[in-house]
Amino acid sequence: MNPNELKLKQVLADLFDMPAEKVGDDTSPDTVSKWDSVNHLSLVLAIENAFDVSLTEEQSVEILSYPLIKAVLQEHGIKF
Amino acid sequence: MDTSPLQQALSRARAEKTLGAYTALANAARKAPAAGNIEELKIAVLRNLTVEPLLPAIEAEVALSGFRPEVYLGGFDSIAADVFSPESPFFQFQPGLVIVALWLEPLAPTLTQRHLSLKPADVEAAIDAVVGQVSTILQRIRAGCAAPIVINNFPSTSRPTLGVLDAQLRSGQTWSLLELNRRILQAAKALPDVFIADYYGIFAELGFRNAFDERYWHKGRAPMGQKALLPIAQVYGNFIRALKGKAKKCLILDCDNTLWGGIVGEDGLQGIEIGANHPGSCFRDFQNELLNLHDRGVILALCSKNNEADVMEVLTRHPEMVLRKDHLAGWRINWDEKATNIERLVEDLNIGMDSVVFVDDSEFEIDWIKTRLPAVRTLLVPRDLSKLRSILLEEGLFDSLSVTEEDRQRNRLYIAERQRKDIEASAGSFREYLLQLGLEAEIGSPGEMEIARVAQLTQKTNQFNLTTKRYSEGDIRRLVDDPRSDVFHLRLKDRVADLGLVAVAIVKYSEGLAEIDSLLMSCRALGRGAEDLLLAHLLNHALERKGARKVLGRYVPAAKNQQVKNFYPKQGFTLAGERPGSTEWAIELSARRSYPDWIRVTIPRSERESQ
Repeated sequence: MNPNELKLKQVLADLFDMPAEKVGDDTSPDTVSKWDSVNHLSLVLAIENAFDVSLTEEQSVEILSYPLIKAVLQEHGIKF
Repeated sequence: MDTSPLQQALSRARAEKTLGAYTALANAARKAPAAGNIEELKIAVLRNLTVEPLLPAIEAEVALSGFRPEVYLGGFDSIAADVFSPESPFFQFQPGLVIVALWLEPLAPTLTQRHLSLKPADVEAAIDAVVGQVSTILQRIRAGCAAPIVINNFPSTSRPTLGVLDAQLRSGQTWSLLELNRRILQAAKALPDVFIADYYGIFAELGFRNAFDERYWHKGRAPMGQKALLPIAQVYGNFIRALKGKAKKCLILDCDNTLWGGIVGEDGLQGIEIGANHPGSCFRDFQNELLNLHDRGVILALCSKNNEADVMEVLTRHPEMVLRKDHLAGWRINWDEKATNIERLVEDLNIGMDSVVFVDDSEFEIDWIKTRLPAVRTLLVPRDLSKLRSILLEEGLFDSLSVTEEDRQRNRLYIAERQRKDIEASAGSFREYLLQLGLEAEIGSPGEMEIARVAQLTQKTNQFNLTTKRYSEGDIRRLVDDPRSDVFHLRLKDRVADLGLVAVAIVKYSEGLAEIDSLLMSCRALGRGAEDLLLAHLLNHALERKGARKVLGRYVPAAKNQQVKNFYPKQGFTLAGERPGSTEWAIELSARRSYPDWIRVTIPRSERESQ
């Protein structure tokens, strides 16, 4: 697996307290109970921390699923 | 090897130091079984900002300090509801530590947003208003609970409106923030056990562009950026470690390429680099910081593969050296492997292995110590020598909450201990040796001069400590004032040095019964019979002044207090009960117990007169 994919899965796993293997395309606020509005803020900070990027306001709202986070990170030049 | 999820998360957090690893550790710590042998630390967080992203990092710091975190999070901006009612869930939670996290803007929007609209008198009034609010919160908390409180001061988060002009003004934005923080410190100092988390300093270190996240301030009242979360949490961790006796106490140093540049055995006294010019200046700055630590009471020692004579020559004869022989509590300079040398040093100094920090420039030595002595914290000399000085301060490893006179004297005492060992070698029997030491003790009840040191001893003493109860200054003050309890302190000196205030006993009384709540002594006073004296004194006091007929003592095993396991039976107590996690011992009082005859005892006049 792509190292960035592993890293992103670990970020979500750490934050939402789930196994990294369970993180996939269906991972979103609909399937993860701990993904609420407060934790969404922590998620943005955790992603920025792990990938050393700064998300725009629009991007920070957009990242509402695992595939969408990947898409936003790709805009920052992170390869998946 | 322990591979519980908590242990794994701890190792990962120590190795990675990332937000993710800290978050995972917080999750693991929350799930750790409550019945385990990990002590719980209850932290209440009262706040007027969104601290949720910070909270897991604080919980991780609690876990890294060896405790299981339990958190009460006050409602957003509902501090008043929590502190004004004694029945509030906050007070009912009975926290062991209170964190008050305040952001300035909601408290004083004009001060932050429209400073320019304020006349100097208005600025002062606005500062008064904020300080008034903060003082009230602190007083209300203190009225309802005795736990230490950590409140933050306010950081700078933007450039001043007036640009270069601002710094010229007596009541500009720059001035008013500094003045406000000075006044917050005053308000904190007015109450016992209130401490400042220096957000101003943390933001200055990180820069407000890194630390302050305007996006989430606007969207969710969460002002801390991702780069600020771990440094802020670490500050709270340093408070926890200082309060709970987990701070480091001893620094063991390699010599070549750690204290100076080059190898003394090869380059010679003249060839090593230390002094005003690079790279010698990096080592000189490092040594200056070592002296600062020494003055704070950190014990310094050397462990080096070298000829002892070569190192001693540098210490005594090199004109540019800052560190000298007299700053050192001990050394092991030989060609043996370093783990054994460190073990021997730690034994000589009578300290715990987990209170040791070791610095070396060799990755091999660092890895060796990590493997052989995992409790020791290791620091590698950085490749970039200009960063050498800062490795000593970065993590706040040695942070304490007071610097007492004893701290300043401590290293001198270890030097005296070396001299005492010489006397011991020349004396005959042990008692003869004790008589030769010319011991003098003073026993009293702590006054304002002693309270900080007494509290510090309860927080820091791990080995000769029967119950390992930790008390704050406020707790001690209450115990002194309460007629149902007594606090005794013991000062000790001998013909070589004044050891200072080294032992504490806390006794609680009820009908005919005295209970020894705490009995502890600094390790440096061991082996002189001061514990016999203190116990005899408190037994006599209980019998003659409190009318007690029976005294109870308890031994509560902790990580490092094995040496006092049989203290009570040796003192003539008999087993009165066993509970999980403690044994209880009792003695009937009938006659006065005599004091050890090798110590000259003084009891201050005030103590005697009230008898």
